[in-house]
Amino acid sequence: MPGLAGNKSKEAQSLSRLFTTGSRLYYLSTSAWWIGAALIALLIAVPLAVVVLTFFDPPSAAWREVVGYGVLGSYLKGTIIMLLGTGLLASVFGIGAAWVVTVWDFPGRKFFSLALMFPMAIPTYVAAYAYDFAKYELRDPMMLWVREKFGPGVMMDANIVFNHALAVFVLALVLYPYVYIAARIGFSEISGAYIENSRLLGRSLWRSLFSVGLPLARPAIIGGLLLVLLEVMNEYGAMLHYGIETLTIGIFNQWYDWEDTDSAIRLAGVAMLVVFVIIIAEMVLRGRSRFHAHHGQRRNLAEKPKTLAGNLLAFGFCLMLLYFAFVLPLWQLLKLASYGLEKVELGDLMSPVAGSLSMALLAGLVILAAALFLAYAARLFPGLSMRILSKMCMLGYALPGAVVVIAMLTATAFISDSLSADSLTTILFTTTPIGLVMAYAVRFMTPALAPLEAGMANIRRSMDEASRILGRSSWGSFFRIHFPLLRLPLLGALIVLFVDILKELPLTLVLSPPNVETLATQTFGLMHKEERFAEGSLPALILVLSGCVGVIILHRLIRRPRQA
Amino acid sequence: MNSKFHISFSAVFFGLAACLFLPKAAISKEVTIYSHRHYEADDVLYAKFTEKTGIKVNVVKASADALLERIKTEGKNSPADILIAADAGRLVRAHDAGVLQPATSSKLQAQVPKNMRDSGNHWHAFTVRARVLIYSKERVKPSELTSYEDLATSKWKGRIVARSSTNIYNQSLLASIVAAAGEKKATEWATAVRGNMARPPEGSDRDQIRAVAAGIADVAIANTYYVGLLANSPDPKDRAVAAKIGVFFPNQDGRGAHINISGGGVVKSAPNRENAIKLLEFLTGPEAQASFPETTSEYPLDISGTQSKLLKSWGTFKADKLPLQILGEKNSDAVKIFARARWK
Repeated sequence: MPGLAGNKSKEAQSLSRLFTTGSRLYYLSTSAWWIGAALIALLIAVPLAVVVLTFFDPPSAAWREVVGYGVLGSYLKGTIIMLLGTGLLASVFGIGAAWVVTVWDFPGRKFFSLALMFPMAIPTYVAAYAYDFAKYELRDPMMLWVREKFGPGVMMDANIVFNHALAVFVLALVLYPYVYIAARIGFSEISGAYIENSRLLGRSLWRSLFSVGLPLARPAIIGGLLLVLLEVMNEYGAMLHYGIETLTIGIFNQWYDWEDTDSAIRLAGVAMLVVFVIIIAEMVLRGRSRFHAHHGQRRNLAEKPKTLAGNLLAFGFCLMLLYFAFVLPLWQLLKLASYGLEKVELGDLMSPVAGSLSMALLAGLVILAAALFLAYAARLFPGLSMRILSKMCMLGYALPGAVVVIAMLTATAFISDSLSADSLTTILFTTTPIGLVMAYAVRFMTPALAPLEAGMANIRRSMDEASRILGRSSWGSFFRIHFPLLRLPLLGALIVLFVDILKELPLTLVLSPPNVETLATQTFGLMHKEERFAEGSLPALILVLSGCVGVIILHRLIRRPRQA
Repeated sequence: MNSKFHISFSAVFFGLAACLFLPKAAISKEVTIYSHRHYEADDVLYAKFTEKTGIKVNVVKASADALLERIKTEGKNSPADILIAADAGRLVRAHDAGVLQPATSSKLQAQVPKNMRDSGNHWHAFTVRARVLIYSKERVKPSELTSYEDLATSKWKGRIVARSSTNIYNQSLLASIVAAAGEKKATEWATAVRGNMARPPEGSDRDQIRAVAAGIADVAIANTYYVGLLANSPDPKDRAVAAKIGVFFPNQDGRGAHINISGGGVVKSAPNRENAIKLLEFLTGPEAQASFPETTSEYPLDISGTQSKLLKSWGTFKADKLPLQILGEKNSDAVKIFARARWK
């Protein structure tokens, strides 16, 4: 989760410390970290700069039409409805589930505390297809009844309302784990002792949630919610599926239908503004509060519910959530896959499986290395400049994949033109997947950097000092102290990256070298392009299950007792 | 422990990197396709082509617009030999962007009808789809249906479904109406049809067909491909939908039903121009042409000559003879008209 770190030292302090050690060599080798970090940040910032610069160009005639037809208004409206709806519902699901498994020791609690994370392995577009049955078996009969009772006009409106509601529901089901994980950490690590006290003072669990649990875990929860909202901003497939006009849909329309990349990027600028507002809101809501983690043991706060009704309530809530978010969609996929099985040759799946796993691991490791570099540089130079650099790297998470694609291509064309480096694009996009990995890095620096920054913050500064007094360079300290101590956050970040890249679609489709097929692109091709759901559900299942394996490993890591 | 971790870390990293880079260098006899089509059946055809000619086929599959953008960015270093799109409009767009070159071949001239290729041979079609009216067998008699234009009349109020105007098949249909009747008439048509819809546009052609089967609407505008898909689906629910609906080819007394194509053009900077032309000849040749109706339910270039049982079951029809190049030229008009009609 972002922003766990609270750096108190000043840049000046660290610089003076560097000089007092006396060695010029030491200073040089340390400044390499700063330069390296700045280079990484620059690489990541180029696509963002394309968006910002376009925003300041005079608008094209087409852009005036976008605004003129009131299209921009309806994009904004759709986006805001989806943000509010999904944000609210995902919070209810995520906080509710986290609270229940934190404070109640009911049958199946251990199982649920893990299984409730699984839905994050389902890509949103797969969830939308898996919930297709809701449109035909629930909505359509309902609409026929509405038309009979109230007439076709009402049916038209009811249809729109139902689609929005279904989209909010489906997105919240697969996105709530972000809030759930954040809230679990918040409840057990931050407000744990306080919740215990509140209970000892005789407050009910319900009152404790609002008086102690939520206020103290708020920064963590808001951090999780931020990820949910950014995912919603980014959503394309599911929105198209439900006929909801959002900014991201608008970006694609403008680019594909109007051949107007200028307005597409401009819309992306508007999307970035919305994201900016969300981030500011997050900072305001978070306030000046910091995590006051008790570094003592993790408490087991859970107590047995006193009544059968309490047991049933806790069990029932978790069961329903897990059923709708994971079991039902998976069951739909399984059913479809069973139809498609005879038509699919398992050998054909080998290449996308290999493509997915190798791309996700390779890109995951590269991004992780870059994030580690940034995080350590930020520790060596805890001043404002480094903070801005690392925050800048995290902005890409907010950009829709389509925009990253346009921006990457525009930036590459510009650079290869101005340097007359003709083979640049060939190297980036044809003979190697370097361009694709770079695009992933722009998109996914946040999930890599945030846990590493938090991990760094947990390593006492006195360790750095001791290591330096012992005569180690910044590199020596890094490899001997920080790297080994960061193994857990590193693995954790790698798994999150792995799951995210596994699910990624727009960047992979457009920027991958020839003949690279992944589970995500194959699922998309079969389900979206060919509309052969039965055949497409098999790669989708493998995709979801590989993601689940990642989630299980992640869960084990989180549960493992923390190192001192 | 620490160094072991390092070694295994680097081993995995470089191993993976090698996996991704190695296969590129070995083969020189190859052709690279940037394809909008995402069919497994196409991969089977490419494999057959390789078997016959020894030419290896490399494929990048993504939307035609994104691929066009990529070709433009890659410039003269683009590895792309052929750009394949699933509609004439995108091919015209690619030609206008200056990224295609003429493919002159007597075989292509003979195998591709004149209205299904660019007048300067910058692209050639290899499959055909018809955009038809799907009606409920329960509530609509085929005799009530006549033409696309008829859908704008008040008798269809609240009875029509169609997908979003962002879809290229709708854009092409409207472009053909612009070509036949002019921009003003086309605007009136789009506005009236939008007003006759039972619900706002959503989902795919398949969703529209399902809506007709479910009773939400009586008539849908959809491609024949999706009917074939439902009829051949392994899911029994899909087959039940297909059983409830009928296929009607409109405008048979006039210009004929609207058709669109999938086709390919040789990229200007193609490093393997000859191989690219060979592949286009193969795709428009007898073996591939016979396979399309069976695998993707698409019509071959010789629409009436198909032997496919499924395609024949929909009946023979007269296709609009409009040179498909026009669809591309009128595409931007169509997009604007849809925006004005608020057909989202």
